[in-house]
Amino acid sequence: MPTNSSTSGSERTFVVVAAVSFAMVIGALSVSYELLVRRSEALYGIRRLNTGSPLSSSPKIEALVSDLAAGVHYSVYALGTSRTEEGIRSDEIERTAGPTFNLGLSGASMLCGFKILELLDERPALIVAGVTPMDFTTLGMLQGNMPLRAARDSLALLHRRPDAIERGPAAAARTMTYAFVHGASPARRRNLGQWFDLFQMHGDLLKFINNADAVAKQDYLWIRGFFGVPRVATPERFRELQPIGIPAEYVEEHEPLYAELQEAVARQRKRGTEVVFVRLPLAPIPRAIEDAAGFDRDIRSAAARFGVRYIDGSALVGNAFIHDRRNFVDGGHLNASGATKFSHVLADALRVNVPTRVRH
Amino acid sequence: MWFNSFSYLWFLPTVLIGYYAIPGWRARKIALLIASYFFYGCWNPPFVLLLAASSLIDYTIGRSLGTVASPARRKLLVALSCTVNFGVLAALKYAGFLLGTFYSISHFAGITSLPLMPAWIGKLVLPVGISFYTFHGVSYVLDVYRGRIAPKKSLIDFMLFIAFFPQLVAGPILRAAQFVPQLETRRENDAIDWMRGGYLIILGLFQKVVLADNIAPLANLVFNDFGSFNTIELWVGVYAFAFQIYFDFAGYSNIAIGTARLLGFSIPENFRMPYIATGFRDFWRRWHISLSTWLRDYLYIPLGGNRCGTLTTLRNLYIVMGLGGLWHGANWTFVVWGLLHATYLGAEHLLQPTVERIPNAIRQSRVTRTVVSVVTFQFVCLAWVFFRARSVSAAGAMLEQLLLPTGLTMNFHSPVVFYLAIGAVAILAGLLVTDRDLPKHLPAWAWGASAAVMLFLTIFTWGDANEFIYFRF
Repeated sequence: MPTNSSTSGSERTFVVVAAVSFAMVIGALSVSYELLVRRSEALYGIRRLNTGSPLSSSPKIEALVSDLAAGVHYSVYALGTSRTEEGIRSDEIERTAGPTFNLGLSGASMLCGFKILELLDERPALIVAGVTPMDFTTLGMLQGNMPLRAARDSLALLHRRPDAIERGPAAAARTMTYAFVHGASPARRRNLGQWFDLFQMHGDLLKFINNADAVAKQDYLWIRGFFGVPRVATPERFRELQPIGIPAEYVEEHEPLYAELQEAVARQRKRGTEVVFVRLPLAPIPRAIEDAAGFDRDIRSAAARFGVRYIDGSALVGNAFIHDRRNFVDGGHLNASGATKFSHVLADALRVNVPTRVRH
Repeated sequence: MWFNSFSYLWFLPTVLIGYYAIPGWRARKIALLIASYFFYGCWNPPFVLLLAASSLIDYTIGRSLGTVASPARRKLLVALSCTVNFGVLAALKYAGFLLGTFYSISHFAGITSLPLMPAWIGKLVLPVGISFYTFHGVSYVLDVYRGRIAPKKSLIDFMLFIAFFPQLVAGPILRAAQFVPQLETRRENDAIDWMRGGYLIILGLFQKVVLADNIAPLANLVFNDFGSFNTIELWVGVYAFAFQIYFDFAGYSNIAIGTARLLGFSIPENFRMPYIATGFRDFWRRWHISLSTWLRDYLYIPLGGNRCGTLTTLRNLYIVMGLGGLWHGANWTFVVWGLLHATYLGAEHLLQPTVERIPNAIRQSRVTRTVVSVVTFQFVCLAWVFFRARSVSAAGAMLEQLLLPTGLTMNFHSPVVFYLAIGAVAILAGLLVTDRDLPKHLPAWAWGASAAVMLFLTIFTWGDANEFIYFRF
């Protein structure tokens, strides 16, 4: 460290004491935290968990593409609209079905999810297609264009601009840091809010560090594409179906899109992927509105025609669940608590569809 | 290459080692210039040429001003510099905005026969940091014109002043008078300087990575879907954004100042606890100080400042703050944000005589100052709504929900208060570290320990490197 003579003796002592205390405290904190992380890994095994909140306009696509670029592939994809995004917890499904990514896209038809998977050349063992009337509307298809474009752009970036990814000494520095300090790697990253939740809820520290079981409150929790919303539906919102015009649009526009879905399912089958249709639980009034538009009849008949298993989420969780607004954000969307309960039951129901090779 | 990326973690030590390994001062400056251009080229290499061209033009005009005596020709040279600098800025940053506005006005006036807006307008790429280095160059030319500084003879020194990497892409905006003299003599650090530089970098990273990046999701959530939230939740979101942008930008500035300090240079502070400001003039003395003083010295005062009567003062405030808003981005939201601040400053100016009639004991009491501070903060937050919203109409709708209560319960759980408490400690640390006389404030062990805790939290909550908000400007 080049210094000049203007440093007085007292200043020099000050700096030395500060530097020593810095080294001692950072050493004590880092070593003890690292030991905790390694202890946790020894207890639970190393499980990758992509925890963090979405920050950019297409965070899900970016996260997925970066996972694929890093060689991480998923056995199960959940496709659908925001109902899927907020209703199917990836970590719950993983319990029975292997590494899972929730590719639910708010406002976008599930058909766009199929297109994205084909674009990324992903061949999962199972696709859980969360079906809603919005999947079969022009609006849903249009709103799916943005994430589809994001997937194309991200892929193009990976293929054409290899310099966009950190390489060389910077990448080496990162790899070495993460190899040496497990606690600093993205898979082990915990933000302060999650720590805050852990202590507030008296959670298990070692589980939390490993994230084998989410101890933190599911507060806008983002786990491999699942976006848990903590809010509870007000009595008014519990009765609402949003957006209000979707059933009418569905009645007018659904036929060609069912044909498109049939082709998408057939293509996935050829690639060796099993497809299951899941209609997520709905509050009674919105469900009645959608059924009146013929959705229940149509989707059951389509599933039978395509030879695909159909799971009615409302029937799966039972009457008590769907009449309890504490499980919902509004009449059509599960909240984090409802999603956890539903995903747990769904994971068991999916056992029969999961090839043995990917089961945990 | 962002300050909060692994690339920078590798870049900075390399530059420091190389810089101090070179014995000659001139060679060191050349190395620093190369490092700065490399740093800038990491974003988009071709724009290095634009930076070099802009620097060469201002250098040449500065030299010419040193030799030309005729006032008319001197003015012409200044006009040439302003035209080139602001012309490039306008073309690359504001072309789409200006044309779009023109089309909207034409459409409103019933003119529908205009040709379609050229597609290439939408494809223009904004060179990172252009707003900052344009202001560097213009301030240099104006200072030479006014005789405040002598024209710089060394091209290396001048190019380094413009391109000095710690402040190149997001400020603080440097003045030639502050920086260029530092290039005259070899820079050396003492132990306290090294400590302050390191501490500021750690503090800046902590503010960005731990505070701003963790508060951002809450602000994004509320601003992206404000219709789904009630009044209390919206206010929480607005406060979250207020602190996000503060920690984001102050964090960047601290890393910039700390990096410069490690290289032996002094860059002026950019923030001085802005959210405790008592009034709006006070706020602008504390927020983005390098921009507000630039606008004051090169725009507000030349327009007449507050010396030509109330109406002229108000006019000047609206011009300066409107342009200041526009400097932040090509969107009417920024202009409205600036004009709103002009309104605040104008109201404060008009109320000044009344306020001065209040006895000093009351005006300066701690209670009064606290109340004024809180009120100022609320108004500043209201203005942030325009700054962050996607459009003026969205901001208007959000303001309506903020001011006309729709619900007073908080339906989401958020650790924002927790972040704010940590943030308050970080602000305090930032305030203390700007003082040269460190030992007076805290014992040495406390400095070391606090830096260690901040670094630990930064490393272990380190997420993906998220772009600094002010890079877009």
